[in-house]
Amino acid sequence: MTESMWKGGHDIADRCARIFEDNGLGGPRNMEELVTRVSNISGKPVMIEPLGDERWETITALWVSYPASDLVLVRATDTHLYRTHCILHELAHIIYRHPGCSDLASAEVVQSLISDGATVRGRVVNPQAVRVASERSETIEGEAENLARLLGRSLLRPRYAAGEKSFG
Amino acid sequence: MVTLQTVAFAVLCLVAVLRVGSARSNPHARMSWLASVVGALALLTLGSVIPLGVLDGALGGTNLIYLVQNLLATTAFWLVLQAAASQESEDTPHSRRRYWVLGVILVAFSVAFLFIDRGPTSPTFIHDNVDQLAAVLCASIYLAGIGGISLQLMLAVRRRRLVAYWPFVVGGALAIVACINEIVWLFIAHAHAVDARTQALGYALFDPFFYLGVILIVAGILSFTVRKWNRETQMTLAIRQLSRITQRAGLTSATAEDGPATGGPQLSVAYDLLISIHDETVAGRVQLTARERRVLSRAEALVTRELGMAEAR
Ligand SMILES: [Zn+2]
Repeated sequence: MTESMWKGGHDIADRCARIFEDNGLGGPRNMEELVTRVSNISGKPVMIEPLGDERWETITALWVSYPASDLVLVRATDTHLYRTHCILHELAHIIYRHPGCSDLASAEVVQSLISDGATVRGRVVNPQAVRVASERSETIEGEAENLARLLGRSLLRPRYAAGEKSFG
Repeated sequence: MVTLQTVAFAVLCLVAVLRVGSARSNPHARMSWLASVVGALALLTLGSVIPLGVLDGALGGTNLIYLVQNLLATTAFWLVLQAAASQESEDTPHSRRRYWVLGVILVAFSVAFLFIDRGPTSPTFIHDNVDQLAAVLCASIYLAGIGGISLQLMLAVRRRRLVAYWPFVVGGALAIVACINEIVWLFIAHAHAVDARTQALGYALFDPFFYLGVILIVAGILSFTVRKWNRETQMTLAIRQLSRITQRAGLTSATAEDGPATGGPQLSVAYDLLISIHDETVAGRVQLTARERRVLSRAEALVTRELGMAEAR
């Protein structure tokens, strides 16, 4: 069996469930509503741009936190669903108020995006990178991924959920 | 039009049988399930399946079956309305006023019924006694009740996607037209305003409008049942195929611990599998075959269709 890329466990799951509950994250029905909710939580506008491509290699999304706004970048070449999940992962970092990640700031694709005072964090699916990452960083990524999955579930409601509930 | 009544009865029975399972497992579905059972009973009282003489005979042979039919039909329409309206106010406590409305309608036409001087069993009981104002009022109150409930049903679904809810809108409209038509012709008959042939033509309009309306509303209900079954069957298949990929690749699927899932466990499972497979592919730990890629994109299309598309509450 291949080792899971994302740190899990009960502690992380419990924290995520609590944050999900406390912030009323089950309310939004689509990405637009969710982004509005997240930017209310962070107090900064959140912009989402499909900017990257396969040259990003194992970076599937980036979160650049500027002093006055948050920018989430995803790869335009990924499928809608995968891209959505990667956005949710970065939104989860914002909700968690996670710090930036200094390792990634030196990466080539990232440097052009960083201006003074910006921090950056990326969703990297690289087993090697995870192994060398610090315990803290692993936890941060595990938290974001776990919360992203809760957010994804919440957005995944059958199209006619209400009708199916009454008439299904 | 015995045939339309029989068709409507058969459709309602079918729906009642098909939905027993979901009524048992899902309390929200019970209202509309009960509506199909009560509606089927109401249609049974018309005498197209069991002869009217037998049914009314059991009640004393004085057309009491007509009152029973009205009570059942009104309740069935009201139950459909409750099922549709409960979607609107999911979080608000159930309004007592709704029960009052039903109660007032039932009592009103029952009281009028008691004032009718009733003869022996007749399938055209009201039309036979149209000279009595009580008969005209009894039928008119009943029909106005059904029409009013149908109007409320149309209003309850007006903000929903027409592509799925049109049978309720069109069915409700047909029922309203049927009810208004019948009330008008009852009063015309009471006043002896037209000849017998014209009168018969006017009465004859009721059945096609009313029973087509009923059939459409029931078809609307059934469409959601079928939609749900269809999706669940496809999802079960997709999950099986995706699991085969993860097993082949030796992946441990990273699933979030049981959390607040609103989309049903199947969608969540499929979602987690899809994301894991994508992650592993990007990381270069898994190479998908052409066939697996096809399976992946088919399953992904199924899940993506439900992403952020839920109807407004
Ligand atoms: Zn991350």
